[in-house]
Amino acid sequence: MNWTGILSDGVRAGLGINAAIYALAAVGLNVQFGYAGLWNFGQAGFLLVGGYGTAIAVSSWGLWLPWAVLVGIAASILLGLLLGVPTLRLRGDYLAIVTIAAAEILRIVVNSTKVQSVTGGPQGIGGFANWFFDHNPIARGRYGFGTITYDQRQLWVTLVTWVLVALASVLVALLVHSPWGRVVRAIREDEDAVRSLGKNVYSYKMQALLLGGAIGGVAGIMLVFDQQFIQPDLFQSAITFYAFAALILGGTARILGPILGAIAFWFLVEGADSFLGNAVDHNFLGVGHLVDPTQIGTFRFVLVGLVIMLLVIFRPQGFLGSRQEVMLGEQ
Amino acid sequence: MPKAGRVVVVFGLASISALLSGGRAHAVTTTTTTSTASAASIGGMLTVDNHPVPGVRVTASRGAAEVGHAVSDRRGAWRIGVPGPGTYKVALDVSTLPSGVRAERPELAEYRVFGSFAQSAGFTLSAGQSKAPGGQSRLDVFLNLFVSGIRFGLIVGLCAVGLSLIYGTTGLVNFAHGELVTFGALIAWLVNTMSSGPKLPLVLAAIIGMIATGLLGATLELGLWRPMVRRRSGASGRMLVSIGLALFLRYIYEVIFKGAPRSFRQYAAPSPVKLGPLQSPVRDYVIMAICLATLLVVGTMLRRTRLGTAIRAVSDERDLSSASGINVEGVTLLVWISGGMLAALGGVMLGMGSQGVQWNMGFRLLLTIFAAVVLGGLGNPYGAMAGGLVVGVASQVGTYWLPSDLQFAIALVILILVLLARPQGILGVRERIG
Repeated sequence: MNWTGILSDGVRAGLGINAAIYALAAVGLNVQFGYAGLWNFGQAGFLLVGGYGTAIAVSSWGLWLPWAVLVGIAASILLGLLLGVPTLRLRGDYLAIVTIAAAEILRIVVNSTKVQSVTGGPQGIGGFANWFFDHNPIARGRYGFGTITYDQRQLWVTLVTWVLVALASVLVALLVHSPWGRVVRAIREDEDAVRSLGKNVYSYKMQALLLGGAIGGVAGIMLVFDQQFIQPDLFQSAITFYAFAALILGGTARILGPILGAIAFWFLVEGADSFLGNAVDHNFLGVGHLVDPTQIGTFRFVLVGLVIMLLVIFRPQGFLGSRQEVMLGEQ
Repeated sequence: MPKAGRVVVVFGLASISALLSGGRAHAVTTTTTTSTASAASIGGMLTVDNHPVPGVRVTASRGAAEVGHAVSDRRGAWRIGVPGPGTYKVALDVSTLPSGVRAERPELAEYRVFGSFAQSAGFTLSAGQSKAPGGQSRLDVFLNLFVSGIRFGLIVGLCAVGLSLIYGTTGLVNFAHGELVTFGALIAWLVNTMSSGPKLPLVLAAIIGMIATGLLGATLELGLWRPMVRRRSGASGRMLVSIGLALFLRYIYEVIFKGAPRSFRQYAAPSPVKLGPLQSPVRDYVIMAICLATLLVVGTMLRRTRLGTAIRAVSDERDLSSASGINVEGVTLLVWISGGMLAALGGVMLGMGSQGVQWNMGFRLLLTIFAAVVLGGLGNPYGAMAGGLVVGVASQVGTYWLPSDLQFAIALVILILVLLARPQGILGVRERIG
């Protein structure tokens, strides 16, 4: 068993681009779910709209990439409006169902042959982020420590994404510690009480949904930048559930919760993958007889499912959260 | 391909790689270099209604020169190694398609390869008969779609009743309901078809599948949900647990049963019988009759029996029912058992259709079931039946005008429209909404 290899696989993933993208998506979810108590099960849809908005703005309209990014963010805000207007007046579980349905509709529609000329259908669109990589200031080479290295391309996109995570977190921190944040958190605790104080609950909820959705849109943009490629399969509903798992792991309604959660989540998932791969190769504890090597990728979903269940049941506040501030606890 | 990129693609394409389960599936003939993880290649799956289409020749060419070709294997998978990034023409050899199958766009004239990794190219195949001009008038096509919509809707209704009852009595939006559907179908397949299984007739197998799923429902209630309720967990926490449970169960199914869809031993490919303008196999009418009879029985039991009354009472007002002497926990347990059995029956009926039995069949149906439940009003079992029919018919008939790859989206658009116009559902009661 190559234990250092397993550990460095985990650390590489925990600091890598996926952790950064999921941290960003989870920061968005934290605004919606952690602070405002909104059940957005369609974060994958916000990522999709952000990514496709940017890609289409470049490939179909020929926009300069920075403008295209703004188009992507605007598109995810628009999606938030479309979803929020009908559902934010309803009970929370309706929002959950509608958002997950909307994310699936979007994925099916961009995949459809009807819109293939714009979205590329199942083949997707590629090569739209050249501007981003042309402006990479990092010299060619490999950077890192020990066995954990990244090339200049990975390092550039990863660093930018982590900086965006930091910016989004600062923004969220400033907001939740302002009067706006107190109202939003009060809505999560008791909507009627806030309404009786004369606040427009609907409008506050909408603002939280849009802010979280826009941050999700940025996460989607960085996801497709990293791939230099966009296709519908990148936006399976699994993204939403991964982001939820990361958020709860770190602790909801905490500024550092989604960041720590995403790092720990990817460390766990990739470390477990690597462990299982190693265990099969070396027939560790007889695992080689039990697990078909081609199915190792499947076990990560089993693991994620188990982590979500155990966390919510036994430690709904995650690493950092406080039991009083977590919606998942007693009611 | 960079490590980080692979990670996203791997889970994004999890469903496809599942179908390719067993690295053996990569043994696809190519004329150029064998595709490895680092070389550029174009590949995909050829399926019709989730059934693989083997033996189809696909070629990739640049300019006038062919750079490679492949023949789809028995899983419908094909992959062509290409020299590197660039624009290629990828084309299906239409003459190698099985009879009755046609490609909506047999040629991708400008397919772009972006880097040195395995990309996928999709060809949409359709079974000729669904929209075939084969002597059918447009009205006949419409009528046939309508009938298959009713069949689909009844199946959705069966699954939706259970979900709605569970929501009504426990307040849980059960995202793991699709996994109950799959469980029933898989158990039935196991005892009906699996080569080392007992090979029971399908009727018996379906009953065993229902009992097993009822037991699974009971186990979940006793081992998971009841302890959570006793610890005063909120409905939202339980909803999230059901998502974790769904992921957990679904991928366990995949590990055990692998990716490919399977058919039951009996009634796998019956020939259609002409009945006026309608062309459906007798099997489809039997499915409809069974579903309809079950729904009628469930509906009557809810109205007429003491148990049904108790279920409706708990649904309406849990605390008051408890105070008036109803054994609420017992009723909840029975609802889980019967909800599981209905879901299993729905799963078997679905598995008899063209898409077969597969590890994620229930998950694929889940949002359609939600649409039915919301359409009928959350927690209202009669609404769920009606909602199932509406959603089923609409999504089938909708393909008369829209491409069939949008069929699933139709149900979801209905769901959102209903919430816009009448959030309490067709039969829902206004005051239940927050």
